[in-house]
Amino acid sequence: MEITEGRIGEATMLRVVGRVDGSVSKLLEQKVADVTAVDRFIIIDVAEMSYVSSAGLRPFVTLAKHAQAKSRVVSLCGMRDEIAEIFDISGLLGLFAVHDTVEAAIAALPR
Amino acid sequence: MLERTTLRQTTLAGLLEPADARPRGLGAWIFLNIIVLAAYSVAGLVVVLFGIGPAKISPIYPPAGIAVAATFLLGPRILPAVFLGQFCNGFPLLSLPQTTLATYAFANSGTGVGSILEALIALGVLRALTGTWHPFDRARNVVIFLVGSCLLAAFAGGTIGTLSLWAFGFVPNDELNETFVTFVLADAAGIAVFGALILAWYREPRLSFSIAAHACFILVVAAAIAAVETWLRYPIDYLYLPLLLFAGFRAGPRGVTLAAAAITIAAIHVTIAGIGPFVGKTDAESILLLEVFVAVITFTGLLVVAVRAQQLAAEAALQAHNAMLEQRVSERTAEVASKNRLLEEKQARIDEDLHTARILQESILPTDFSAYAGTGIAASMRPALEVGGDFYDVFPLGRGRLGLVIADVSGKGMAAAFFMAVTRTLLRGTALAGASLAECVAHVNRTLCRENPIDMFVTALYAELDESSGAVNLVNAGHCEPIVTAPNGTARLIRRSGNPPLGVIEDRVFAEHGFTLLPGEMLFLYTDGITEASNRAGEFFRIQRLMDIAQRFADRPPHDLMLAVTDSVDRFSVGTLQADDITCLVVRRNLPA
Repeated sequence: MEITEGRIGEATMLRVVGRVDGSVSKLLEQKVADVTAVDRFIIIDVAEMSYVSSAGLRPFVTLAKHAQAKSRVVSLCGMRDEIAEIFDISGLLGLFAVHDTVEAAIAALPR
Repeated sequence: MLERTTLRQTTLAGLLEPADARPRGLGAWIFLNIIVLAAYSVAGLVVVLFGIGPAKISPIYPPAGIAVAATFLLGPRILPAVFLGQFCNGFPLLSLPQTTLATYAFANSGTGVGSILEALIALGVLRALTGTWHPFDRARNVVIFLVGSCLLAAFAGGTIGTLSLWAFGFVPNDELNETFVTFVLADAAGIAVFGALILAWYREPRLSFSIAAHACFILVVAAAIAAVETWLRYPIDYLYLPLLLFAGFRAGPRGVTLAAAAITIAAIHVTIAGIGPFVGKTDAESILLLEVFVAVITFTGLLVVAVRAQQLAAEAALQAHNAMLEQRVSERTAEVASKNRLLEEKQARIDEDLHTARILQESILPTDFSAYAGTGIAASMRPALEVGGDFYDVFPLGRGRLGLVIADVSGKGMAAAFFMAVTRTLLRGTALAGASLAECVAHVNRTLCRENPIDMFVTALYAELDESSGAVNLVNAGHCEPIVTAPNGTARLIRRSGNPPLGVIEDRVFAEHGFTLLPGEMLFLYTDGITEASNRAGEFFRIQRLMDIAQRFADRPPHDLMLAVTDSVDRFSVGTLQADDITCLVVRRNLPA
């Protein structure tokens, strides 16, 4: 897994690439904790996320909880079908704003 | 030290401060003056008796040493004795035909004043430049003593003395130079040899056996060298040098000053006999050669003891410093040791607490499933740390129904263990209160959302099994998908139905899922500690391996399947640290008997 961080306007963008499993979930969890601590809008590009395991879902749950508690807007975009299915059956899809592309996610941000 | 010295120099009284500045009565002063006068006179008499040549002049004038030493030790109030002693020591002049009482009195008052001045300069220079009254501690002080207190002082005393003798006709014009040089050098040698001798023995008056033995040895050897020299008539005066060094190293200032005095007397004695390297063409030449020898001996000897004293002082300082360092080190070591002990005690308490927590945690996980006749059950939970965040639960719900739970709290350690206990108790309590499956899970979720100060959540699967019909209803709240095996060796996953973990979204409705567990079929519940156990290559155990084992053990008792899975995980992850709690619960609907 690789995480790259960037900014688009007011939003922080994280790009998650590769397999997300128990071996990297701690890293991802720390990253999202850092980002949600300061930024109001977070866009996560998961188009290159190839796999997510049960333990790999945990950082996303934590992210959702942080976002809820601090009124952050978290968008997931470019999610592959099989990843979307895992999020869906795990009950996590409803926790995020889901968009097909990063552009769509940016367009959907409140002005 | 230097500042104190500077302060002392500011007053004349300070400059002339003697070693012993105790206040004394008039009687005591008269007594001390008489003693010094006697010593001065006896020393003067000795010079007259043993002087060289027909003029009985000496290369060394011990009374000068006595005068200076007395002034160093007792201060200016001893100077009357010095004046009087010098005045009287001129008595051989009385035998000269031109001497009158008046010329004698004037000439010898002059030499007396010269002696007083000599003593005052000797003390003042040493006090001003070193702050002390003896030259034995530092090489620098030795130089100051020899140049200032001996040569400079003797120059002043000798100038006045010679001029007054000359003024009243006791020194012929053509002998003025020679008399002056002899006067100055003899006084300087007297101070350097006998003055230093008295100061050294005054400074360390305690007579130990060792110092007495050394003193005797020094005297005997000096005498022996002189005797051999006299007997064999060889110039072996260089043999005095080892004796001098021996005295300096073994007996300190006392030894060295004694040796210098003994050597001086021995050298003079031998020279008077006309033997040895110091016999010159004239008496004056002999005296000059002896003076040089005395100067070298004194300088060398005093330098040796001063350097030795500095070395000893440095060693003592180093030792004191080392002792202090060691003291510090041992103090710090004791401090660290006591801190370590406290830490160890604290750690022991924490370990004990953790151990108690583990026992408590294990005790709330059921292990005796013999009451469920139609159902075979096996379960195990192995925490990665002392305590874990996983749990399983099995409890009867009445009317032939069983409650089955498996759950995994986010995180590990004490917080997870505590959250696990809360969740387990909440779920069991709510279920036993008669709530429906979905209601029960929703209630637990709500409670966990509200009473959850830290961001914890729990993935959980709660199932109800009707033992008679095999009907299973379950709510999977974000947990791993359970496996159902059939006796024919097939296995299938029960898909999740979109419920999030508990403790994430407060007002959430949870979907149930229903199926029938046929006789002989097993429901395998587990946590991701199994599927995400990793090996040394960093690969995961994966669901596929688990499915394979489930298929192979599909026709075996639940306990066998459980052991096969845990053993397989252990073998797979051998050599790695267990990263997560490993938990599984196997439930088989027994075939009718």
